[in-house]
Amino acid sequence: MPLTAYAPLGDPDPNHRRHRESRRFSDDLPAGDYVFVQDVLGIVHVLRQDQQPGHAHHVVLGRARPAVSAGELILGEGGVILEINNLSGTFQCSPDSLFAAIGGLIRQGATFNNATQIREFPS
Amino acid sequence: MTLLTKPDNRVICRIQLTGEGRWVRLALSLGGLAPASRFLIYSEPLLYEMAGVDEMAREYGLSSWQGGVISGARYAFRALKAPLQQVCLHELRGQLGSGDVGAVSSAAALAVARLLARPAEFPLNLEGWTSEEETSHPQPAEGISQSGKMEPSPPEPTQENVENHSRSSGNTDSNEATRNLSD
Repeated sequence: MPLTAYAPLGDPDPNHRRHRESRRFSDDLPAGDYVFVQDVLGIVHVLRQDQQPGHAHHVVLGRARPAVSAGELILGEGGVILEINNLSGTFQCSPDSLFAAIGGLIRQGATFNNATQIREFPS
Repeated sequence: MTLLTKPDNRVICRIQLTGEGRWVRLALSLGGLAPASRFLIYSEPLLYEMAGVDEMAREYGLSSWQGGVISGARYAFRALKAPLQQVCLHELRGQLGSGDVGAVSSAAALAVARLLARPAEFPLNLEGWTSEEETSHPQPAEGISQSGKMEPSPPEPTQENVENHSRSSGNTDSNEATRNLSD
């Protein structure tokens, strides 16, 4: 797996536990707004935004574990990614980290199509 | 309270959260978000003066605290289903612990909601915090605005724990940074 591992900048406390609703991405997840963090093994973990309002990325993996990609995604039905970006205050990953995230999501069953919006934000 | 700002046509919202022995004050404005531009930018100058109340927080820099600003601002846009705009950070001051990045996030979310002229109708964890807010509108001359909503000022951070920051001229004297917000 890649590339660049990002240590958490916001809330880097190793005592933060993983959120109980954080889970591996899969195509049977309900549609909705999620934050995602891809761990250093390439596995993409997601947490519904409404489970952790606001500041959320630091508890997706917990324990100040590093990430190779992090951001937000909007999930449609059947694992279709409607929108994805690299916005994360905790990890502040560069835009090219989205390549790793998209690869990991596809491997875990996600579908990207021509309507998927991919938004890159300079870190 | 007299607030001195550079001539500017932006609306700036300032939120202050005060808890037990801790406080944070941040000021944000919104602008157009061009493709491939940063979501969070800094004003010139940026008033940055954060003190940590525990050992870990004393190690935090602007990049740590700004994580809360990004999280909270982005959350507000999403929760309010508002088109994304660029967020400009004008001020970030306070005295917080290492577990208080969430308070920065909540303050940023409140500020964005106010700047969008929308009620903050989304879940926020403000337990243990009291909030005050102030919005300064563009001034036609000299950029001087008046508001008394945020008096009294919170206790100043202790000097040894203060990190000063100016994007335009490097580190600044803390009194200089503070003077801009005081009578």
